[in-house]
Amino acid sequence: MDDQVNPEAFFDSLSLAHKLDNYFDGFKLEEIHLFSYFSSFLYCYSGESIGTWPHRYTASNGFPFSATIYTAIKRHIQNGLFENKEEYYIISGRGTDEFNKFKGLSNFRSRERILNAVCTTAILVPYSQTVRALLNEPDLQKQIQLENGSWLNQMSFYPQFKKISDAVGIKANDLMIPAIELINSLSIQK
Amino acid sequence: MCDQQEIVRNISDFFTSKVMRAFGGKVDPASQALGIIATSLKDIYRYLEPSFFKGDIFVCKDFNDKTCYDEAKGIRLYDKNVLLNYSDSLMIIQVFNENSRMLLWKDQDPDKLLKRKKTLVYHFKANKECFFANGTKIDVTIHDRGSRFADQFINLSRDLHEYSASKIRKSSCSHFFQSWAEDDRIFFRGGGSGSNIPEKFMQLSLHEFLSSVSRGISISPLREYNTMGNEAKPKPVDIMIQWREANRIALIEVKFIGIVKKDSDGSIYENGDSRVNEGMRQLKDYFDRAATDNPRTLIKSYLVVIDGRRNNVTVATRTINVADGMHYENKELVIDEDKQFYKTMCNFEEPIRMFAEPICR
Amino acid sequence: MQKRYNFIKLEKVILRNFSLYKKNGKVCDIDETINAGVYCLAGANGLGKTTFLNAINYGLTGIVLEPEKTVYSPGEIVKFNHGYTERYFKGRIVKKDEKNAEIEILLRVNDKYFRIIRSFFERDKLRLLEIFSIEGNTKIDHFESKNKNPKELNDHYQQLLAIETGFINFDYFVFYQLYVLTFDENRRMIFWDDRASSQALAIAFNSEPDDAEKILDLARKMEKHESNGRNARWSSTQAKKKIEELMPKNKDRKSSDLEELEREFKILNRDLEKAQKVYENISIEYDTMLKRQSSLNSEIMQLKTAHTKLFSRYSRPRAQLLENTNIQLSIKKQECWLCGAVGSYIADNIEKSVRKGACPLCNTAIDKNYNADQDKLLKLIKKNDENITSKNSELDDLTQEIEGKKTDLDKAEIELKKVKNRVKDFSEDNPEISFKGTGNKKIDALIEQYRSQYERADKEAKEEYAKRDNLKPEYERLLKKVESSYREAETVFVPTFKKLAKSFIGLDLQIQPQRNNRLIKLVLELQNTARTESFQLSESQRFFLDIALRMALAILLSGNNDGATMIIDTPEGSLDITYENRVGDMFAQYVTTYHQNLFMTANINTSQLLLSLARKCGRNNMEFRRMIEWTDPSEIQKEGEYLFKQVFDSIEAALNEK
Repeated sequence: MDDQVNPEAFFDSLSLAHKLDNYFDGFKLEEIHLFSYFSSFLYCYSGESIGTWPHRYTASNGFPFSATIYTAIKRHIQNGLFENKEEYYIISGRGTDEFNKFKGLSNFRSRERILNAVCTTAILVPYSQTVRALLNEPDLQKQIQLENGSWLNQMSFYPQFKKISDAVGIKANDLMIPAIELINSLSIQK
Repeated sequence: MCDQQEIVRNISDFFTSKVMRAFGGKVDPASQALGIIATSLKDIYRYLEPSFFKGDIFVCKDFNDKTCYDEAKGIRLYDKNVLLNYSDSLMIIQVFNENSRMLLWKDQDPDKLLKRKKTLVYHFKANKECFFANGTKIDVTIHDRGSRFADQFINLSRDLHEYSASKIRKSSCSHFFQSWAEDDRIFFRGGGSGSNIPEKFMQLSLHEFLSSVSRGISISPLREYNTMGNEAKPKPVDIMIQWREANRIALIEVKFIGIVKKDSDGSIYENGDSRVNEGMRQLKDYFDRAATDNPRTLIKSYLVVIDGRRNNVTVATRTINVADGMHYENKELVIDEDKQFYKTMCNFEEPIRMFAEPICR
Repeated sequence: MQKRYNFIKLEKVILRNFSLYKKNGKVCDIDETINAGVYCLAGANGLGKTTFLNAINYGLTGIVLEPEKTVYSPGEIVKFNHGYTERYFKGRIVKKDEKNAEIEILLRVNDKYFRIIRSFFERDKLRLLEIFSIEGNTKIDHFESKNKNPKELNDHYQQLLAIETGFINFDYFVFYQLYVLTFDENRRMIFWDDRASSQALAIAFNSEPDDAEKILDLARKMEKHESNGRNARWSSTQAKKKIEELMPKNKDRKSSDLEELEREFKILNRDLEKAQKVYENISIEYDTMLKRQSSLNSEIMQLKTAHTKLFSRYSRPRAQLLENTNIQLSIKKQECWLCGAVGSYIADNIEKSVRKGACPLCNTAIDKNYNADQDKLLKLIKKNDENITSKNSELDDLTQEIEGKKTDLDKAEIELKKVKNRVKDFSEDNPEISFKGTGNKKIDALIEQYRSQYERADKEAKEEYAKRDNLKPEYERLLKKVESSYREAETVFVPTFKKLAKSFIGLDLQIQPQRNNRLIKLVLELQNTARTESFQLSESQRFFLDIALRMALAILLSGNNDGATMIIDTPEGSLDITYENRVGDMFAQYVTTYHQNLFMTANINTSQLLLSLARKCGRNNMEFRRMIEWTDPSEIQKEGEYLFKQVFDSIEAALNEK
């Protein structure tokens, strides 16, 4: 009961839930992990080192899985911030209130930029295609095959993606553009 | 790596890249504008169904949030339900960084808008949508009807087709499976009032499927099948779907055609095209009633026809061959001209015929 | 691309005049044809099975490894083992046979056959070297041995074999043959020895063969520099001590001829003092900044920990009410557990009460202060958040300043050095001015000696450490390449290892590379356990897992159609019967599924290992040879003859089963 809750996991899961519900009428819990994994790639793109991203992922049941995110989601469910609709979850009114309380915190602002970019991407590139592309990420696929419990390594695909992004040549500080490029690169991976 | 070249080309052809390139050096504000327009459209289309539009809708974002027209002549949108009032005419909506702020203009000249620099403009008309970026028109239409940003009815349609392929075709649903009289699935089970009516299982089947795959909807609980259906207590539509966060209702009527073998005495009777036409008429009635009861709700009607027709079948038939079993696989329904509402009314989807295969020996 | 090697396949082994093997009192020649698959030599204890293995490895490499646990790097093997090699066969071959005792080996690598004859007492010479291939019925020679002396023959053998196998040089072939592919009676385990494992991995997971050599070389050099540096540092400290002991209190000593020089000297010293002061001051400032940086980092970390605690408290669920099973069930089933009412409003009503902080049953206010408490916590969280942000920005500014200060420090150091050099030069030119001596010439000279010793040692220490530090980036880079090479190979290596390990130990194991300090090693974990739980393996389990790892490595590295030949000497530990069976399975898999070869010796006992191996392999894949044909049994062994026969018979039966 007394697991420590990681503040970034608390915020990330709440923010993603809020947006996924808002734009797509609901979310499965594994989709939160998936979009968190998506966000970590953009974190690298923004110039940070992946070692400072607060979540690590393994492959579980075909999806990325982060223990910190899992603990945070569990709390949110227990506190009534997420509501169970049998086949999927939605964010409750209280959940939206809580999210609004926290989104102004200065340390979360840079995170919010990234989370916003990944969710908006799923509007512009249709949602089902976004999910399919993310599940197609090569390192995730490899770890699903190996069943070796290793940490997912974003740096495996990231250099390839960076090369593609540089070749496309749109220079942006805004993260939505690289997010869309990432989904497009993953869609065509064999 | 030719793979990489292909990927780069694909990305460059994607509409977001085209928008960025059209704005040359101003990628960041353009990207921000695109994001805000996308999320705003998601919101706006909760209240409007683009495939029902008769007019034009423009949604724009100025990079510096300068108003595109005189603010005094515009309407500040607090309650987006008012948009329904204007869906037959021209609407120009401007969105801002502050996401609670939206301005609407009705009688302005859109050309002025399209000539603006540092403004990204989205346009939807007659089921075609595009962006105007710095004078360049970029088409983004991907659906026959409606918008890629309003996927409520589009997803429902997709789900119904998925249902047809995955559950009806090979009778892979435990509920639907019970509507057959025997294992080979030549005859439907039947016999008047009582519990063994195929429609009941079909509705249950569709109900369950839609509950499990669709998000954000609530499906009307199943009511007792009222076979008698008199004037005082008319039978309600089979399935009514309401969107939790969007102003939409879908009416689904489930009919089946094929041969029914009565449980009681083994005699058979046939449901054919007349049944379908009857269904169409009923659906129209439901629609009219629903439209009267909910004048400001966006309603779409779907007729789902489960097709179990077989060729050369008599009361003595026990097995069926491929030729006869699959005879109707691609035979379209014949709908009376006066019931082809889907041709003239955007609130009606073309009937969805779901062919159910028998076991052919 | 993962580098692959072309491992050799033994075809024939002939021992001549090897006194150890006598039949009916006469020294007999051994002539063994080695099949593909499993070649198993069984014999009673003490008959010389291990010697046979050692002889074969000797024939191939010219080396018998001394029975100690150290795993040497390729370049060091000969140096540390040639003495033992030379002594080894003296005990096993009588004097009169020495000249004629020799081993002949026919081996195949790729499409070439190598036939060599090596004397047991001239480890670096070959009596014969033939290299040929066979096309149809014709033998095609690839090597001209005329006019070459035995030493040259050996050199050519080493060069050409290295080329054919793909190893960067013969030493690497020896490393692999003796340490990785051979599991001998010393039970030297590679993967539980950090250094050995690091070496084996560096050699295996390198896409460029030179890199392995470079890594090992760099590691050696870095160790050497570090040790030199330490020694030099110690010397310099010693010298300094001596100087302090001898240094007297200052005594004035004036001489009128030297006043001019003394004045100059005074100025130089003043400059020196100034430069020293500047340097010291900047050094202190720099030091203070570093300390501030360190304490800021620690403050930020504390704030972050507090942040986590606050979040945990904030999100602690309102346990009592929501977790009550009746309430949960009611909400889920939409049915009140108390009155039985059914409806979708049930859940809403219950939740409303809970949210209001009142008991749904009796309406007593619970946790009246909940909302107020939450607001307080939220305020704290916000405040904490601001603190973290401001400290982070302070840290960013400080880091920039530190960079600037470091530049200043370096400049000051250079300046100080310059002035010191000027003083030194002056002192050397004018030794009588250089210091106020003791007046005692002898002691002054001694001090001078120690002083120069100190300066030399200090300089050397700095240089050695600098040399070590210079090598670090390249070493890290190469080690990273090994890691990424490993990641590429993972897709083949990990499933192979897991399969072999599972067939032996029956558990799903996971294997990860781990970096610590300067080494890489492979770490085993049990699947589905928390990472921090260690799991216990017995000694025997460890060594068979070591074998499984080597097998997986050999499978990964086999290039041509022939697999590697793993040599295993009496592979029995204190395993119980079920494990013996499984080892047999694991070996059989190695041979039948992965098309590798196994050359093993075994004791004659009721071990399940041989039986299950024979059963799984069958005659087509396994040859079972009894040493009894080349040796005279001892009395004890004669007594036990019928027992031996039983064992042999059951193995023959098992071979026939498949």
